[in-house]
Amino acid sequence: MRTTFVQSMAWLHSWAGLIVSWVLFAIFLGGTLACFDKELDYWMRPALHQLAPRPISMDAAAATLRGMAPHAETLYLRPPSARDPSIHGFVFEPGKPYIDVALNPRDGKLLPATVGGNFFFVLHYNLQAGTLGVYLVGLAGMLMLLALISGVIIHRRVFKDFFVFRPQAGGQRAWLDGHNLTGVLGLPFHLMIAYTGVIIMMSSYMSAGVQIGYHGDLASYYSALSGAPPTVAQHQPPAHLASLDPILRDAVQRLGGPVQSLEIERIHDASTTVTALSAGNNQVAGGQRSLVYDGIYGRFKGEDSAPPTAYRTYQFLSGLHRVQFGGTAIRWLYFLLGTAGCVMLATAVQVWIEKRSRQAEAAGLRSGYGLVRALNIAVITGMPLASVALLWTNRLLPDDLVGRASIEAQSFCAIWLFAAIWTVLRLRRGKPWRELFGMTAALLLALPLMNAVTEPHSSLPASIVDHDWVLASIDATAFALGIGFAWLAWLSTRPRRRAKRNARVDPLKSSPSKADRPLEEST
Amino acid sequence: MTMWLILLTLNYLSWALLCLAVARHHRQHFGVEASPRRVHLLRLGGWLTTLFAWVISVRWRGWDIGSVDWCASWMLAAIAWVLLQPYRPRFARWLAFVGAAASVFALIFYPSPTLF
Repeated sequence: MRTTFVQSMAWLHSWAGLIVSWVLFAIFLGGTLACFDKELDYWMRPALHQLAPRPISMDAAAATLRGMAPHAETLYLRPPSARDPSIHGFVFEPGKPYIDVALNPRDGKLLPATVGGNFFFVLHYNLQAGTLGVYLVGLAGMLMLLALISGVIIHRRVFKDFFVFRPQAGGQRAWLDGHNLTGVLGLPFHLMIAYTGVIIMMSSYMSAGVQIGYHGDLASYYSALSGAPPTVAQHQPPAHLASLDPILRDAVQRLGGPVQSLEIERIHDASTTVTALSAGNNQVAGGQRSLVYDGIYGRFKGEDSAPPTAYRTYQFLSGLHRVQFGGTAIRWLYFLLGTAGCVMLATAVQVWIEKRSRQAEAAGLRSGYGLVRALNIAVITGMPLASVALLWTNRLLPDDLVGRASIEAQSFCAIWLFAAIWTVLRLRRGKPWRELFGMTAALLLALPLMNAVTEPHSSLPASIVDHDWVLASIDATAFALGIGFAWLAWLSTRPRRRAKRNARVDPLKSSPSKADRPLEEST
Repeated sequence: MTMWLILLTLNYLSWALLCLAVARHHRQHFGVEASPRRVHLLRLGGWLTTLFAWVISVRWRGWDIGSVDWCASWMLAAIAWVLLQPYRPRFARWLAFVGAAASVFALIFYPSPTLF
């Protein structure tokens, strides 16, 4: 059979879309939550909630970090910011697991361990699956670009139906309108986020450029990007190390704005330096100025040259994706657009199954169609449930539990697995959409209450009294989302009634397979 | 009034005008065909409103962040209008004009709005 261009694009859209849609949904939801990763991190660390704003001690934090990694050459410290009052310490040593810890800004001691809001960020870029996950996410991102472009091609009435939404039409029509609505109206965002998301990891996905241009030497590639002049090692230990706090104060003054991170290099050599990188939250591309200080006496040595234009372009594209600029307002806009993206993906997989509802009914639940149905429910209802359950586990686990962070992560996976099993067990006779959305709604609605019981000083009323709007807005947002999920749970009972009504009027449905139908209609 | 609310309401009005310029939606909303002159004016008003939103957004936050602010609120306003329109058409139109009027009022009396 001769197929037209549009037909082959339709094939590409439905299949390239379907195979990655569930992974993409998890990536999208993770990214949407990661818009507020630092805020969630703050919420998940009650030890930070009652701190006086000053003084901070970067030195104490550096000492803790050195104790954790005595042989590391380079330490990174992220000073407290408006979004996150803790000091974060990072160490990347070759051949060892990297260190990423939150430290108390007063005394530099380790805060009770938690996966924090960072969990969603890591989930977003590697599905918590290391390097393999990075490649999987990249593949999903590239297939999403394919699906977006083929989607515009097969939607032949983009402009004619630009404003059309017919929720009363029912069935496939309404799902398709919902998919088109969030897909077309959010298209600039989806294209941007898929493209820049792939670009951020381009040196991993398209390593040929680095391999040829730098003869496979990644280190020289990164040093060319940083713009820092090479330094000469002196092969003797430093007499002592400069205090970081005056360096931080001086850097903030010279930059006229916040510092993103302090990088202490060659800490065991007399040539040690401290580099302060500007946060640059007033630009999409982020900070480009880095100030270098002598690591022994803390003297200002000069400023690294600005990064080359090509790298600046890369920073602009990755900045557009990571949205560290422009304050809370723009993060909310990204959060809402990300939610629209989640709706686009959730309606997409529903359109796929509705379009094939007749074949799906004939094939029964023990078929590919049943698998798609089960995956739809397990992913779309399971991930929100697991995410809110993570916040519950964070408050319910005792502070001094050994391996607290990994237990939190395991609880996330366990709850998601629970949702998947529930889906499979209830697919035939129950209403898994409604039940799982209902559970998410209950957990979200009760979150402010649970927070008030476990951490009375961090409760919604207390944080409003303290003018701690970050804490207050997380509780309030959870409650509002709870109402939303309750509405979804109520809504997801309605298509079933409609299906029954259609079954009565549709003459084709009175076929011999009638005996099976009561079982098939249960979704 | 805050910056993002002003951008959202102006872009919402812009989408409402552009939508009403489409024959099918004009019929839905007003029950009559729009005259060519009216379609022309609606379309022009829609584009000028969103251009105005972009100009003030860039004035506040620079061309890069301002453009992102404008583009994000532009998409969200479109989704808001299209979702609201089939359920509450009268309220959707009312919101477009009252919201934009409040924004213009706020712009005149508080020319440098806060982020939130």
